[in-house]
Amino acid sequence: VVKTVLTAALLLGASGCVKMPESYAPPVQRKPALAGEIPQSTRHLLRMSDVETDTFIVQDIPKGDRNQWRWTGPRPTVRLYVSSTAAFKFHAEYSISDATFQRTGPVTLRFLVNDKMLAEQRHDKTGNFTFDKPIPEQLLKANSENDLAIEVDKVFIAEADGAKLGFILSAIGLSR
Amino acid sequence: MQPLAILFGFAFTLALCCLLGAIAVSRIAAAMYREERWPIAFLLGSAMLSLILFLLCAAHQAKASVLVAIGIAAAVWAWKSGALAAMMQGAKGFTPLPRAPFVLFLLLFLPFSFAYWANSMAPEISPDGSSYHLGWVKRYAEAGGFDAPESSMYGLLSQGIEMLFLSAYLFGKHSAAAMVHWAFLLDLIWLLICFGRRIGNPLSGMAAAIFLYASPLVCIDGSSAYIDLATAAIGFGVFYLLYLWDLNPQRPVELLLAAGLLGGFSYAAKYTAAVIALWAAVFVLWNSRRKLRDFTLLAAMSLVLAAPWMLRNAVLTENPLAPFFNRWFPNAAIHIIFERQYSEWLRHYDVKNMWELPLEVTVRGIATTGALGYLFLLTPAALLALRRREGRLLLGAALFTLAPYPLNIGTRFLIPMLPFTVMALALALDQKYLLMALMTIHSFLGWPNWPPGLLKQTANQHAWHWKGIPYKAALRWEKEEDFLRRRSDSYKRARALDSMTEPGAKILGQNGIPEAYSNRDMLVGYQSATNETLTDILYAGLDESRWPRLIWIHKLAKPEGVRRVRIVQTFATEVADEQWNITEVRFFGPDGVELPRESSWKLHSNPNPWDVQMAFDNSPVTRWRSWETARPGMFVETDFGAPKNIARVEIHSSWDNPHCRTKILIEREAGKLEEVRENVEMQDIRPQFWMRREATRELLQRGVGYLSVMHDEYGSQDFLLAQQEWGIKLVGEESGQRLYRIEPYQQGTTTAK
Repeated sequence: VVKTVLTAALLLGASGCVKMPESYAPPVQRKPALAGEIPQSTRHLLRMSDVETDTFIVQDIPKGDRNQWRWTGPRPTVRLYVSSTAAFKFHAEYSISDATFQRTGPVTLRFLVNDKMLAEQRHDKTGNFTFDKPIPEQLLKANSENDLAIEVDKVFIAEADGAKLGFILSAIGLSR
Repeated sequence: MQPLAILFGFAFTLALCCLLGAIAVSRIAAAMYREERWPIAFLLGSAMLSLILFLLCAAHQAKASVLVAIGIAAAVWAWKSGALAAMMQGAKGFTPLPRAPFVLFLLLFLPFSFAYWANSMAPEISPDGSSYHLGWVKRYAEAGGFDAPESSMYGLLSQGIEMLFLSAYLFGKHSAAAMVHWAFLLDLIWLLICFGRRIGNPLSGMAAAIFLYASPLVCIDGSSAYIDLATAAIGFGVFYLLYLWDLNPQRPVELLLAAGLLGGFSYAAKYTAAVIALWAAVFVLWNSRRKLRDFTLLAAMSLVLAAPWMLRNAVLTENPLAPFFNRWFPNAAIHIIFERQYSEWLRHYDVKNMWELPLEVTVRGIATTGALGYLFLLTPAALLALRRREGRLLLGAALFTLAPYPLNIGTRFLIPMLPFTVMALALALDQKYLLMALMTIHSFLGWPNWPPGLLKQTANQHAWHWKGIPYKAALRWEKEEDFLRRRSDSYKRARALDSMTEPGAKILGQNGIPEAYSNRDMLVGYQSATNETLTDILYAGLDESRWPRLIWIHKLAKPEGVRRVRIVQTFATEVADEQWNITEVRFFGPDGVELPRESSWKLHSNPNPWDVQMAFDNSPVTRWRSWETARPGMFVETDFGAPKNIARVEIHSSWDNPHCRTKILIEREAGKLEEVRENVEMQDIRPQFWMRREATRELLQRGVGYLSVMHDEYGSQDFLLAQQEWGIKLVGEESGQRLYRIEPYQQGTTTAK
């Protein structure tokens, strides 16, 4: 028993003698990239085909779709974080479809930033459109989330399932 | 088939513990009643099996086939040696239990046992069980032994009970392990009743058993792959054996050895439970007639179970008590400042007012994760048990087991005290109808999801407790995958990580996942020194206070003949979390040109000598940190090996250590360091580097291929919105967790989409 105790005590004592490393040579030198090489971020612009787009959707844009475009509801809305408010444009790429236009006729889209109207766009014919308009700084909130929405005045109601279809959205967000 | 495998893993481990224990108990059987032998045998056998598994893990032979061979050998030995026969024969039993209380006991015990069975055999979803208790068991099972436990602080805790989980896991996976924990609780219940009978209060024994068994926290903990109830059972086993030893006029040395073994096992089970071994030492010194001999025997036997874990940690980290006591044993595995911050958190949780703690641990159970039940508001009444000797012994042991509680005020950390408390309480309230009423009411309130149960009626429904009796999941009528997905978001996250990453991928994140269900290497930020360093690198891309903006320039009056430069920190900061940080140290000659770093230079620092290279790697995102509160005398040193002409020393640091100041010591003559006169300037610059990309580039270089970010954690918006700047690409999202892949770095090109 005494031997066991002594052996254990010795082992424990030895383990208590921490051996600190003495010194090291300089390591392999890094070659950091300069800030000028930073690519411009496009993350403020949401393309419907991007996997991360779903995380920004607030309403009226179906999630889980990975096509180039998605049908919207009456008021598709996304929420984006911006750190500064300067020099942003509301950017949207969308289409007015023949299929809905035949039933709804001309439609008006209202572009909203944080529920405040930025612009209104009337469409008397179908086709692909791009919307780009600078956003006054006071409409955006710095260092916080901002809602961008496009409201359509008339929607197509599908007979089969009652779904309300607005227009076809390819991209929405902020650009500079 | 799966239920059978689970039951086999559970039964095999149980049987092996009992067989090994029988061999030991057969030598002390004469001191016990018939009913006492098996519960004691189980505890002793579990200690022996735990040690065997430890040795197998160390030898990387922890395999099912080896365990089966050991099982057969133990059975043959127990049979041939007559141990089994000795367990069965020649002992008298207790007098029968009083009829009415016994019927009530069964009426309460059996439904709860059904709920325990269902919850323990259902797929394991407990937070700690599915993350680290079984996470490490899974690793050991797959590796056949210990596998890099130093990569997480949880892997460095003693894992005596996890060794038994490993035995069960090898045959029946997670649920078999959880059932082993339940077995310890059953053993404890049995022992409490035995103790009541032994001291002539069988009703108190049964009441104590129900007080424990129907406690909401005990229910959920005891049916999960946790270790608290096992620890409590071991502690009570130590108490019981020493009570028997003290009772016996011969003071059989075998009882003392058995108590010592369990005392060491308590350390092996949970560090804080080692206080029961301390209690045993005090008890023996107090009551023994041969104090030194008996104390030595007790201590020596305790070391048999405790020392292996200390040795393992000493070998792995140079700290036998890792992940604690890092100031005593500085090491590269756990940072001193982390231990301080973590300990601080454990002492307070989110409890704002400590006067509310009794209510929190008994009734609310939200901040301290789990409530013991309303009955435990009566705990002060246990003091009435001081009237009799057994009561004093019980309360003395309770006091010892309570001692470490202020270090961690989680309700679970009261569990080692519970057996003593409930027994003392039952003794104090030793009135037949009162105890029977309390047993009934306590059980009623503790029953899961019973509508009138008060737990369900209050905010306490959010505390950690049973959420039903999942017998269909236990029998796998409901598929394991379906149950886990239905009940656990973290399980879904773990599966998503597996599906979105390649085998062997290293993922850095700040939140753990159920490692027991993942095959990926999740590096959780706070869990080791390495992971903390990786996190510091990552956040250097995000947080300007970590950028190398501060440049301290020391201009030397006499540049010639400098052989060694020691930069010494001089300020005693009052900010507890302020570390001393150096991103880069640069030396310049009289011509203003930086001296190129040579491989012959010798770099050294104190404290944290392991990271000194990070101040000399030319990276703006890596830095040497003291990883403890800055204090005067800390230093970073460069030995040039030959005289150099140095006119200027630049220390590139950051704004997150604003109070730290430095002075320069220089060696010109061999072995003689002198403080030099110097001019010191400070500049605040804006780094011209692409910090986000540098951070991920460095992580990639260190083997980290992915970032896991919860949607509400620090920096989550920045990672999402600035993926190109980071050089990362979102690859998927699950239950609030986003996973980004770090793209290979190609200078001058954009790699992210």
